[in-house]
Amino acid sequence: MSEKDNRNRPDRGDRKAPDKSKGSKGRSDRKVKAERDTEDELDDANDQCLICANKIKYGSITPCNHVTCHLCSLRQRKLFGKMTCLVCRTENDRVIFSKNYSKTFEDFKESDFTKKDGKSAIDYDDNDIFEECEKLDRNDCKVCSESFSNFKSLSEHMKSTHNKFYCLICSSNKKVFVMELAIYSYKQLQKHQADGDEKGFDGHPPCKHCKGKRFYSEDELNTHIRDKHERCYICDQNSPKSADYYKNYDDLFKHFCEAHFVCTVPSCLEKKFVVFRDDLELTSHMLKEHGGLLGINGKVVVGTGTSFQTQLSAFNDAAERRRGSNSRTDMSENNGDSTELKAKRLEERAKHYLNYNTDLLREFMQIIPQYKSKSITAKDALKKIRSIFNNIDITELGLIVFEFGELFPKKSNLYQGIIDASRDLQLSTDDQNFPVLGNSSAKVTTVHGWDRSNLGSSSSQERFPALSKPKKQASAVNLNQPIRYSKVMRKTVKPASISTMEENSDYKPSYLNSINHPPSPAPSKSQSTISDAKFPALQKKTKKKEIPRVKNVNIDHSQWGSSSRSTDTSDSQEPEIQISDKRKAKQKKKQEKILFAT
Amino acid sequence: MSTKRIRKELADLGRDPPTSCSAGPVGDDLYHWQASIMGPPDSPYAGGVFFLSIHFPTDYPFKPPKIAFTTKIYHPNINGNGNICLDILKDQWSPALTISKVLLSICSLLTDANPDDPLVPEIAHIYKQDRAKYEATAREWTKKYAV
Repeated sequence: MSEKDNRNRPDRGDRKAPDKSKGSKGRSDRKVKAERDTEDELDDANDQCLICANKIKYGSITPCNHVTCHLCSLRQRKLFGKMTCLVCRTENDRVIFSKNYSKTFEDFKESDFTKKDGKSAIDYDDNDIFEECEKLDRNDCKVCSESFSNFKSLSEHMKSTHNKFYCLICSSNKKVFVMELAIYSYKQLQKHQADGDEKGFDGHPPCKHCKGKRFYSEDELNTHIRDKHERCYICDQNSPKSADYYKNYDDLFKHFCEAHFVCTVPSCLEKKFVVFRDDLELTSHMLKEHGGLLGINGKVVVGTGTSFQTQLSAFNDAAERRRGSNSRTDMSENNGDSTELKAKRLEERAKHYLNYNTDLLREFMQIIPQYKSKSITAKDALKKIRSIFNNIDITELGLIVFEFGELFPKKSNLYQGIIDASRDLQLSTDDQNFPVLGNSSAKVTTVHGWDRSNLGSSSSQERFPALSKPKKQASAVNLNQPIRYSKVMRKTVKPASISTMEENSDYKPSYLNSINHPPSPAPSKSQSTISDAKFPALQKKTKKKEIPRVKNVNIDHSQWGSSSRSTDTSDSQEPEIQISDKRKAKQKKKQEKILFAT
Repeated sequence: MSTKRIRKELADLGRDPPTSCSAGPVGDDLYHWQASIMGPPDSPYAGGVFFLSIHFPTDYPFKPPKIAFTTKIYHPNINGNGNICLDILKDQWSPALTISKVLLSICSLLTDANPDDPLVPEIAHIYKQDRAKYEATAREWTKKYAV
């Protein structure tokens, strides 16, 4: 692009170049400036630095012909040490600082430059600009103008002579020039570091383990924590904002023991960081890594398949977090969002659908309090909504009405009114076009597209994607009626959330009951490995230590797979028992026959 | 030093709002914004309204803003905490980029995920192996969390 510009403009450049000879330089500058000033009145943006939005005093012109203010450019090159263009990221080995920033890079000639800064690769066409730039980073006292060779002595001078202080954290981290650094009284400095003294700055965060040590920002603190302290990665994933950090591994290990599930096998203790989110994961680890070790003791609780674990792990935390943060609303609403969020979402949606038409938006937003105060009926409200959103898709209108209804408590007349009215107005009769409302009327049995999303009783479970081969699971559950995918999922997901007291805590899957009856779990286990993988989820919360049974199952599994002649399976499997009994009977008969024959 | 620039961006957003996203300060804190993105129609996120939080560092625009989803979303490049894996929010940040441009980039990330540089490998795997399953799950999550 710059090349093209270059080719298009050589005439102009040549014409202007003679003006740039030393004598006429000042005049032409002023002239251009005056021209620009009149332009500015028309368009302020032309004079504004793209980066800092301040008025450009001196321009920085790059070979890629992007103009920024000299301060931003100088900051980038000197303080950030980057030679890239602020606008297009082109690496520039040279930029020009000039008052005539309406000129292109090619307009300038070598003879124009009165000063060259080799280190930052900046060419100045005016000594004043150079002076000004130099001054910025000079270690001069702001109070008495005394000059110092380095910042340290300036800071000392400030302290001893003027009883003022620089924030040393800012001076070494903040990308500002020395002259831009603020000076504080002792009290101001304390406040600046502890609480912050300007907008967007809440002070320099301290490390809670290193006394008196503060960091420029959270980023630097995090780097410090990463290097010097220990973080619990489980808590980090659960709630990254509030996650704690620990002074050293010993402290972290204490936390592991208290809050999580540590593998206490010596080799793992030595390895460090072998800790798990829940005992299910620990069990899985035990089986995988130390299977032989514990199997002998009969201590093994069957773990889940690994695929189950890994797939879930990414969402587990978010699910928990969500449950935690929304616990107040989770119980009453199918979607655990606060009314505030719902209102905000509705507003955003309306805004987008109305293409930022503020009048219509205002009109729409007025309907909500009107309806709430019952000054208009649900039908009128929906009619109004329909007229406001007259040119959007029916699905979109459906979403608006759905979210409108969601603003009111599920059991209130207001909510029901919307449901009924939307049906009357034929907004919801067609489930395809208006899928959402149909579902929300607490009829979980209704079958249409959106019902599958499981907005019903257990919608806060989000582990659907992880589970594989649900059909086998269905057979394992042994229910007579056909089970839809979603239901099965819900069940398997449920055990993990028992501790969080979901509203479906009264929901006892049939196989939970069956677990209490010794004979029935066994066949389900032996049927497929998949069911094996899922059953432990149940055990996890309810009966973690069902040790002997599990071991039995393992034994069964290997035994009846190879041959069924074994006699000690008597208590494990009903069908097997029958078969073996028959054989036994046959054998007995045979024996009897033989006996009789002889 | 960043106040003016942030103000300008806010004014520009108000004057010329980008399609399908919006953003503005939370309360009177100019350095903390909330943004919303409408799920792109040609993606499994269609129909959803996704909220994001934006934090401006004091060094903005020399340092990138911190942007994260606050609405749960099923996407290979967005993790359970809402963190977004997007180069322009990290090393490819340019001070000339604006919130508006970044939000549009996030929009296009929703349409075209980048499974080769995933933040959630599990989702990326499904995305690559079984696109229909990925889309179904993403749609499900959209209905559940963004409607």
